[in-house]
Amino acid sequence: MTVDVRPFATLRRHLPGGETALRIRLGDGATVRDAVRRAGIPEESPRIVMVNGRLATLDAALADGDAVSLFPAVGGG
Amino acid sequence: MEKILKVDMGERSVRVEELPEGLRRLGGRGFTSSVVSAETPPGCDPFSSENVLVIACGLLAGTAASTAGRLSVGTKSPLTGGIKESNAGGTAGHAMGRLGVRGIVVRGAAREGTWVLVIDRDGARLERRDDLRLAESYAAVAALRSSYGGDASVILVGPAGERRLKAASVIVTDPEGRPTRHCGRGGTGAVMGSKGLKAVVLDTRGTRPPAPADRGAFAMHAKRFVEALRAHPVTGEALPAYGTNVLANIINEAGAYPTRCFSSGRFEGTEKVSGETMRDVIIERGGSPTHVCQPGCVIRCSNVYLGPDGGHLASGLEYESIWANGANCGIDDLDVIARLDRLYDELGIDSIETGVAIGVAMQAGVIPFGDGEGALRLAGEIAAGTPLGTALGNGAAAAGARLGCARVPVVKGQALPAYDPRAIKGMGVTYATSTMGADHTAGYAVATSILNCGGSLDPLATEGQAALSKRLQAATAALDSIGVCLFVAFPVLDDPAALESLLGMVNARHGWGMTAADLPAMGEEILRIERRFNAAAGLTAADDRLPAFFLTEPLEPHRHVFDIPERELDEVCGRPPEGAERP
Ligand code: SF4
Repeated sequence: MTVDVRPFATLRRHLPGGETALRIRLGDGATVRDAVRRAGIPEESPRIVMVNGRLATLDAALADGDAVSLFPAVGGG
Repeated sequence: MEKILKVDMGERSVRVEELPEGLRRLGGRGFTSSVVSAETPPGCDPFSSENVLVIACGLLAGTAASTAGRLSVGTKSPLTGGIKESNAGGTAGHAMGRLGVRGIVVRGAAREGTWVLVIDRDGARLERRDDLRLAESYAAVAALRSSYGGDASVILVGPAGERRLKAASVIVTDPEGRPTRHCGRGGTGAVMGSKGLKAVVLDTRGTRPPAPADRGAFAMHAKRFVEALRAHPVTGEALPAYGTNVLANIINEAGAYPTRCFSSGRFEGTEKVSGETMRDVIIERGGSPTHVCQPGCVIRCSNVYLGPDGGHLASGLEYESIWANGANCGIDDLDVIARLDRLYDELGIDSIETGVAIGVAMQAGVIPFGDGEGALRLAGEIAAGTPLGTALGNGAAAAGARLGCARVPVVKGQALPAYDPRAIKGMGVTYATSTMGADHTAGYAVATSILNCGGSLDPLATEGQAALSKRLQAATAALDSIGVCLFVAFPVLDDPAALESLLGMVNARHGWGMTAADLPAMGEEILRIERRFNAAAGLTAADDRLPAFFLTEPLEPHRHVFDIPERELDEVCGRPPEGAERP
């Protein structure tokens, strides 16, 4: 399957050359954790994970075409 | 002993009195709401001389406590028709603390002239300054500082307040003396303007920080509090690096970023106006991505935004302002947003209310969504006082009424801020039930349901939202009364040491024994006072509701409507269920 990984804020420093998103291929049954690893982002860095705009965990199973958004701890108001 | 200043604009008198027993334990919102509810007749016209305007600092003002210089302004709101408290950072709260003034109560109205209240170590006096009539805020501050001291803190209204526009703010100067921090919401500036009071100048020369009852304990807790703020990833890393606008991407990803007058939860131009992009632009132009609005704040969420020519545009381009004048209007150009923000600073008007009003005008077809130059023209009409400009300056509801728009995002006449209540339903509960009208700061459910602070709750779920909002509204009322910046709530929600040291400072400063267990009751009591005022002013259960379109139009991408049952909203407001006898 193919999924998009989109890190934000400080997590972007893990992507090469100022990229803001990465399209990666994963095997069947892959989870968010697999996507995070493949993107070269340390597993413990994302504090907030979304799949298609819904809050998720690192263990969530992915499907083809999913968008994974990863955030460090952020806040504001 | 701290003081209360009583100003009568009709008689042009100023009295300095000892703080009465009943107000000694109250700062910020607790102070303003208590005084307003005791002194303003709930049914009065907000612009009549009977309405009082109350300015209060917090319980730790003037000390070295980080973020404790918050300033509250309270009154009967011309926008909501109910009680109002709006607060801001800037340097005035700490200045009041050093001058030993907990609160300023302004009643009456000047029959003529433009007046300035000057407070210094020797006392307080009203001075007539007709030269400042309708002066824009940067020029007014420059003139006031040249008269009363180059380091003076200034609380002022701009032309919008003097012209009684219902979205007018009360502005507070920052450490550079720039009029950029606003008690933005609910038209407090229009009430101040209606009294003929242009500004309050606080000259702290020759004063010292107030002496804590227990100096050693105070220093220890102040240090621990700073450590807790620095240790938490939100207040220690994200806010200093990106400011509040770090939220743009996450709220957009969550499908809750209100776009084109609340018609979608995702904005295709978000990346261009995000905190990440803004940081790059600021650094490239030699501005500052990290800035304090008040001395001693270690969170430093503010910024200094320069225009393409390197000239200063805004200090503290914030998430809310960027959203209201950006995604909400379909505008993806940070420079246009910063120019609008500068106009609002000069005029003294709420950037949220005004941005939403412009969005309503776009919805009505006055100009198309995405038309940045058109938005600047409309803001110019507010300044010029054209009929359309005056409607816009009176807020989103007035703009909708003038333009024949029924679909207007307001509660109690106040515009919704930057979280769509269909995608973060706890915020919908807060908007509907807050005593203040639609106000994100009144019970920030986003913290728990998006940001994983203080637990977690699915933002799209129906269950648990009312309880979350209710709990947060009480906690917020308590924090607003201590007078610290609300962003301390992130560590306070997660780290017991943060709350312990905050209360430790309050206790050491005043010689009290306040505990964490006292806070919910303190917050509840303030909310009760505010609800009683609103009920007496004529607000009913029908005012504790979202506009109907949020219940019928599903929001992309999640296609949810706001579906929290009305009886749960009533319960948050302490209303007995239908059919039940009132006790
Ligand atoms: S966190 Fe931001 S708003 Fe709060 S006191 Fe600090 S600079 Fe001001």
